Amino acid sequence: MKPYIRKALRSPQFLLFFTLAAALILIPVCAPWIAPNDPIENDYENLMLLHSEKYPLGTDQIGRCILSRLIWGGRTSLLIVFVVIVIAAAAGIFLGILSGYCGGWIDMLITRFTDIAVAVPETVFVIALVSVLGSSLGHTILAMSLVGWTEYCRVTRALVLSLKQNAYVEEARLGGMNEVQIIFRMILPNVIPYLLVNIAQDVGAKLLTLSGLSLLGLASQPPTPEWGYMLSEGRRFIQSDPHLIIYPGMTIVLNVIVFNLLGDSLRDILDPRFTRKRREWRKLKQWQSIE
Amino acid sequence: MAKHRMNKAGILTLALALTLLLAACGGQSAPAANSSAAQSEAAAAQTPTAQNQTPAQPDAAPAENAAAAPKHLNAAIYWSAATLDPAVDYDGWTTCRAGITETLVMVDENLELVPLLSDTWEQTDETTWVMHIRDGVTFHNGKSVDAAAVKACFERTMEMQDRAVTACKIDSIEADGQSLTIKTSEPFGAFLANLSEPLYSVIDVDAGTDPATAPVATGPFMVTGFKAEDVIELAAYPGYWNGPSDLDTVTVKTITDNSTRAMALQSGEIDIAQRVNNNDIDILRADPNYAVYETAGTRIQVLILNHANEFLSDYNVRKALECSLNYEALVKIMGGSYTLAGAPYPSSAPYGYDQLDVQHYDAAQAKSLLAEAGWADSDGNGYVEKNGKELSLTLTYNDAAISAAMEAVQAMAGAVGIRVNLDLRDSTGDIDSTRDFEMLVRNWQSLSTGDPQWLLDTMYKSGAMTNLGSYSNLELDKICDELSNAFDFASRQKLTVEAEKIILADCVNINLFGQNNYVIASAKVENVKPFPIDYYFIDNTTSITG
Repeated sequence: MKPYIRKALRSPQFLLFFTLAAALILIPVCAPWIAPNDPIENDYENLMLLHSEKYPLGTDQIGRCILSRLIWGGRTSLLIVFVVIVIAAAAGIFLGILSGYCGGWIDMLITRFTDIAVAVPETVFVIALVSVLGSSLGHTILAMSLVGWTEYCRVTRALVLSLKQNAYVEEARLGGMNEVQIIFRMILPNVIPYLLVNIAQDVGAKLLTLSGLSLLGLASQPPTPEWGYMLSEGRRFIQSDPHLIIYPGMTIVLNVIVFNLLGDSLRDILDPRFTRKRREWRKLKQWQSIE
Repeated sequence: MAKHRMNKAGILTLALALTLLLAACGGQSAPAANSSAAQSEAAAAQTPTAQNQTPAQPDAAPAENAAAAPKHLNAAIYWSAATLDPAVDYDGWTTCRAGITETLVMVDENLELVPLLSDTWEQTDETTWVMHIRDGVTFHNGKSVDAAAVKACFERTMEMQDRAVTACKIDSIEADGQSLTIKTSEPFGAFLANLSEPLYSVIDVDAGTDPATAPVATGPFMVTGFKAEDVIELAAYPGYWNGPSDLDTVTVKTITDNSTRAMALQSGEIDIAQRVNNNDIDILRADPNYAVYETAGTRIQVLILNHANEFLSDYNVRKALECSLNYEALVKIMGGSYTLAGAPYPSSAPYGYDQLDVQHYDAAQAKSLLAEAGWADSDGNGYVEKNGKELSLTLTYNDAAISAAMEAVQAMAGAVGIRVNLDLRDSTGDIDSTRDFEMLVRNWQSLSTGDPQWLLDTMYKSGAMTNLGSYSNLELDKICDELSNAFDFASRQKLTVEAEKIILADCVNINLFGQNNYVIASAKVENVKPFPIDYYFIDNTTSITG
């Protein structure tokens, strides 16, 4: 673990995106202290305001402060995304280790089951499930978790398959460790860092899925502020008051980009082969340009 | 590696989506020019055939007209029709909008009943009406319209649709030359007005064509092509009794989405349309290429309260809800073409709006009404409870265009302690039969035929078909019966005001806001008339220049 941290601290790219991501998480967490107004309070005298001292980003169609809604909306959006990822990652890692470590018929069963789950188109499945169960945050989390675990399971299984061949695993077994100890002390610590890349990038992907659902009116319930729903509400005013969709739209894009690039920079740190290859490729390019 | 590629693909997709968004916002005018050019080409290609057919009527096409460019109008309606048969559901409203069919009488721009296919009429006794069918009116196939043809048409409609029997309470019809004698099953004061319902459109039932796709009627336009829920192609009928239309052909498109309809206007795909979103109206109003025609409408968005609900059966709760809503703010949220309602009929109608204690905002009264009925916020969550039950109501609606106002309703009711949950559905049609709702928003045509009785009979009378909230008041039922026997306007007016007073005193429903009617057309379109009743749209005078 230590060499990774040292490497991370030396990577300006990682530091930048890590700081940005931390800020994006901290802003909604501190919402009660930093939001300028109550996100669900209506000011009927000031509808569709573009900008004012009291409302820095203006107000929406029923006179609510857009900035405050964006800040509070992050709580809903990011909370759902993180809960989904924790559930999906936990389930995926558990099944992946079970499958990779035990092998045999368990492996075959889980692999086939994963294949089936992968074949189901994610968004369609989530929309179908939420439509049937009724739109609520709980159902959205459930539906997104049900389809989100497969990638974690496959990556974990592949990692475990290669890890368990290592000599130190054999040595640990000869040294008297039982299987559970081996999994928790030898396998899991080596799997997690690689999955961090997946997790960081999954934040972006899940955020987009969630926004899509909210846009269709399937995730959050009014008046709870949520980015995708704000987008959906502002859609009708795209010509007359575009700021209603530009701000939430930009917020979603910013979050997706930051978490995606954070995942990228994490990979650069964790995967030495990958960076070496890229360096060689760059060198080759340079040579070509000189020639 | 795979993850990395996927990630790049993700960013690419994002970029593509953004580009598309920008392209969609910015680049409308260029393709529009192309499409309208293509359309005029298509129209040009069509007309020679139309002109080849005209020699059958030698005086119809003078030489200078033949040389002029053919006039084509593209119109859009917000209501899709499965058929063009006026006897099916409300499809007559579509054929009426498109100027295909006509009724015996109609309601004009001033909400007054005027002659159409019937030029004079007479009530010979309480239940007998003699309608004279205008001379010289012909169907699109050239056959002249007489009382027998109208009789055959009405009998077919009544056979196909119960509404045709109940709306005018027709008992029997007799035809003699141009005089049509209709007997009602009981005295019915709203008879004449209800006869203007497009359901009673006159078509030639012996024309040999299927009325569902090609009705042969009397309007200024005849059907040349029809695709259900998509498009109606029309050609002007040269033999129209009230002077043929100046247009050669008309395309009526179904565009159900308000924003799409506004964009179609902006792109030039259509020339004229009814009803677009309010914020789009402001944009079009500011543009000299468009004209917005507006008139006081008769539609009212009503929040129907279910009187069978355990909370809403209590007058205090209904009244508190009524007082909690800031109607002026709601109208402001909806935008310029919406108006205050507060009563069952709009203020523009001659039904005593000024004499009524109309629904109004009074938050303090709402709170005291709730306290009086024993509701209190005991757990400090901002919502009131009684006997351990929170006052929580679900508001069901199906029009996303009013979402903002519904969220405001939620916030306003919440401010006095009533929790409102919003339930936006694709359709609320099933509620007509299940009646499974707490509060339901419906857009009511309050003066559907220019007469007030229709609304009272169908929405407020005990046991009426669309009295969804199961409201019942015997006094009101009595007034409905009296209305049937009242034939002069003054007494009908007086009874209607009495009925309104009862309805408001009982706080039956909440009249959220009224809606002006508007027609938006390109500046090239001439003689556009906005009617208070929205099933009148284009007629024989509508024309286009250039």
